[in-house]
Amino acid sequence: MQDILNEVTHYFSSKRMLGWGTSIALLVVGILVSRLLAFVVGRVAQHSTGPRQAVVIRRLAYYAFLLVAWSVVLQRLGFDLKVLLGAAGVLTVAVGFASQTSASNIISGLFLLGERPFVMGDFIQVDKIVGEVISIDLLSVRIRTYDNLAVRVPNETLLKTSFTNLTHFPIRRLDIHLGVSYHEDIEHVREVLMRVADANPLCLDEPSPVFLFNGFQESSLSVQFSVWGTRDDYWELLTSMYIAIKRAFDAEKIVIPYPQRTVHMSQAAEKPVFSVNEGD
Amino acid sequence: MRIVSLEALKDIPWWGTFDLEVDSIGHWRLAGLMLWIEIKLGEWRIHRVPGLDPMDEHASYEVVNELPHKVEASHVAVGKRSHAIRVFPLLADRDVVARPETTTIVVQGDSVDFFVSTPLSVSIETADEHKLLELPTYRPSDTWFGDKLGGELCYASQLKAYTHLSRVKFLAARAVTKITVRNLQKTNLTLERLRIPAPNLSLYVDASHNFWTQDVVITVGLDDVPTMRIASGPPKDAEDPVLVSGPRVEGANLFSRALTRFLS
Repeated sequence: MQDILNEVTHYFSSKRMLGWGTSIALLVVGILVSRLLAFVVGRVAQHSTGPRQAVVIRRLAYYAFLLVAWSVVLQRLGFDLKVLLGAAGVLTVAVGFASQTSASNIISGLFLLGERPFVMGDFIQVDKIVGEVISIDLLSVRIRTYDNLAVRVPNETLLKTSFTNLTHFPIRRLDIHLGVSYHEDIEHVREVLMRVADANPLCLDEPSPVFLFNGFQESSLSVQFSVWGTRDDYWELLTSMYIAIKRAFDAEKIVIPYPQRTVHMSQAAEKPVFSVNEGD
Repeated sequence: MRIVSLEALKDIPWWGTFDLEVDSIGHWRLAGLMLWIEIKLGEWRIHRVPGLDPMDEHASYEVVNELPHKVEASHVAVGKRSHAIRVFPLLADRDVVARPETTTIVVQGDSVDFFVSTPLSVSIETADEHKLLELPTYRPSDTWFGDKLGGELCYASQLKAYTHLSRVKFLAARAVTKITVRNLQKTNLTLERLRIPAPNLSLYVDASHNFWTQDVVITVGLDDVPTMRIASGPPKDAEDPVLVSGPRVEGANLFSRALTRFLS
């Protein structure tokens, strides 16, 4: 028992304790310096990138500086860093295999932050999902749909597939596809649609509306009427234009035909195929 | 309903401070905008119908007994404030884009004057100048000035820009701006659209109760970059102009402003 006590006392001799104390003090200073340096790096990054990118860069810088501080402390405590690094390498490979998807998402997230195809508040369409970007994180992007559902889209998905940013540009074109009866004067239809666009304050005067006569369909003449509006007013413009077109067409008696088929009766068809004689 | 003609407006302007009694209704008709303000104890009820015709000449004020049915309304709690209402004209809250009658070519070294009429808004305020509501007398269409990537949202003037003042029709709820375009380039300048910086301009009224704004000078220099200068002081073509309201965006008169484009 006395031997063990002597051993412990020897281990915690004043010189060794001093070494531990110095190392702990170094670690504390290292943490503080890392935070300070990461803050400075974050501030510099914010000027050249955006606030979200700056947060990520600041975190990465903090962990890098902390790693250096830990290395210095461990070396001072007498640990062989080569062995530690070797072990860390093996561990990294093992963890890497286990977390391929996460790593891919993180790297994709970094690419997205660098490329900046959208920012928070933009409306994007990924596959069939349309909504507002409410957060851009390292692993995923969160979207709030129009019906107030939260959708998580992995960064890897965004990097691999094509998506549409609906609010990147300040103005947007609204394409209205219409079919009008074959009896209509197409020039008259054009004039009516132009009048509708002119009367709608949300419909931009410039770029001017475009009228396209697309061709002949089975039951109608195919027309495309394209107008421009601001991205903020897009849905209001869409609704107001459809309502105004319906009213204008009703007032001008322009017919939007139902699908129809014309059947011609031939003279031969008027005679019965089979005749039955009386008395039979 | 009594309609005040433009001639009669010389004596009875539709704008200013109106002292209404409790349970009375003031009715304004300004261009197409119909406005009713009902005075209740501690509360004002503002009813309105938007204006639709840019050429509407009506401008009237009267006290009426009945309110319209089913029109848009706002209720404003005014507490124990005075029943006096300030109704004042303002220039548009966005730049206005107008087209010349025809595409105009300004020969190198030459200049041309344009006169453009833009619609006014009405500011409804308490006697101590707290703004309650601002309503356009006519809501023009939106338009985009610049390219599709980075232009600016403006109003599109339904009325053309004329090169002679005599061709401009002064309307009760519109203000006229004189724009001079100087071409200092070595080539001719083709003008298809003009941009009037309405929020940067002061509003004046002349002896005939016609509204004017400060004059604007756009110079296209040798570097092909248009610069705009707002003339200090009242409009030169107006007779005895009196300032009605200053610019919405302060400080624009102090220096020349160089924006990306004023012309296209």
